[in-house]
Amino acid sequence: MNLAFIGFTVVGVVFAIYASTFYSLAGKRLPVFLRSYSFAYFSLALAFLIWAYASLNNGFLKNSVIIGDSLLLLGSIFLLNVLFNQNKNIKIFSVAIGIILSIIFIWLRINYYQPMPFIESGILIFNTQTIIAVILNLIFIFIWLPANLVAAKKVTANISIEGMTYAYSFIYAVSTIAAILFITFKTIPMVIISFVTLGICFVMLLYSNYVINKLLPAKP
Amino acid sequence: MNEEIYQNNQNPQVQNIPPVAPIPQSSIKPSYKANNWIALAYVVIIAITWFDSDPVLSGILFWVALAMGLIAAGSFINRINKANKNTQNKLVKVFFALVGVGGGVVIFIIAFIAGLVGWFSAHPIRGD
Repeated sequence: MNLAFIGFTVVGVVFAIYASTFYSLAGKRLPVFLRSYSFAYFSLALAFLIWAYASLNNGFLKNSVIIGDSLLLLGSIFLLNVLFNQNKNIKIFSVAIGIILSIIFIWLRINYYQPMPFIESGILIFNTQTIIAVILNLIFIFIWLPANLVAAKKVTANISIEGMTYAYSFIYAVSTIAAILFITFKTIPMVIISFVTLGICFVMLLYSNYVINKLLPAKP
Repeated sequence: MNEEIYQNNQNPQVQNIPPVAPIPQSSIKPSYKANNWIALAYVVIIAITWFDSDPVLSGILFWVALAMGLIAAGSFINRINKANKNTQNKLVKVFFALVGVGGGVVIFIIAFIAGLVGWFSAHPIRGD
């Protein structure tokens, strides 16, 4: 059985459920601009589902990595909306820069750093070049993690219970790290262990949405 | 602040929560301790991936990562546990319990995984 297909499908579907439940909360119990946060996770979910499909079709593998990278960058641009929501000018500027840099990144990926993924023992190995891996990790560190922390603060802003912001920040941050590890690892034991980690994160993420739904009052 | 109280008063779930007492300093400190340990654990993880070509160093870092993972997880659980004691809301208590146990396991596993990366890179049993 193709482990990559199962893993990416399960992760993709759960990310989509998480994004969907969060989207339904934004505007009702959470600020509207946090819809961008759920769009980012929709993008990530779609990338995972595309990689799941590609793991069954070797001919599509190479293109799937470029499409997945593009969706990751799209998600990052959505998160710039979350990061710089308070200042409209900075937000527009950062999104414009983000789009330009994303196009350059994809152009480099197609022409100079072409993806070389392969399937080994049912595991999809991205085999990413070091420079590309460093860029992607920097995107996670400087956009995804801070945006997750901003979202955690906004989510818990109206919950006056000590430790909630800390708990939400932790869940959002560690889920991002777990997703990076899941994409990065190359051996079967590592992929399985990181998948377990991601699974625990999903349980916490989905329950965190349930808690928001119960604790926060609906906006009139 | 008044707006926050007003909003909470409109929510029946929140109405059951007794007034929050001022947070004692002893319950704030562990959050910084937990963050420090988690940060240290990730520094070790980065060190392992950096030195993964050195068999001796990565082997040592494997044990350091395990120890860091244990301490970080313990410190995190302690922090969440203190927050849990300060609330009476059952929903929040379950949430904190889930985050405490789940988060502790995740922190430990991530450090453990990093340790394994170092271990596999140092030994011929490496799978790839």
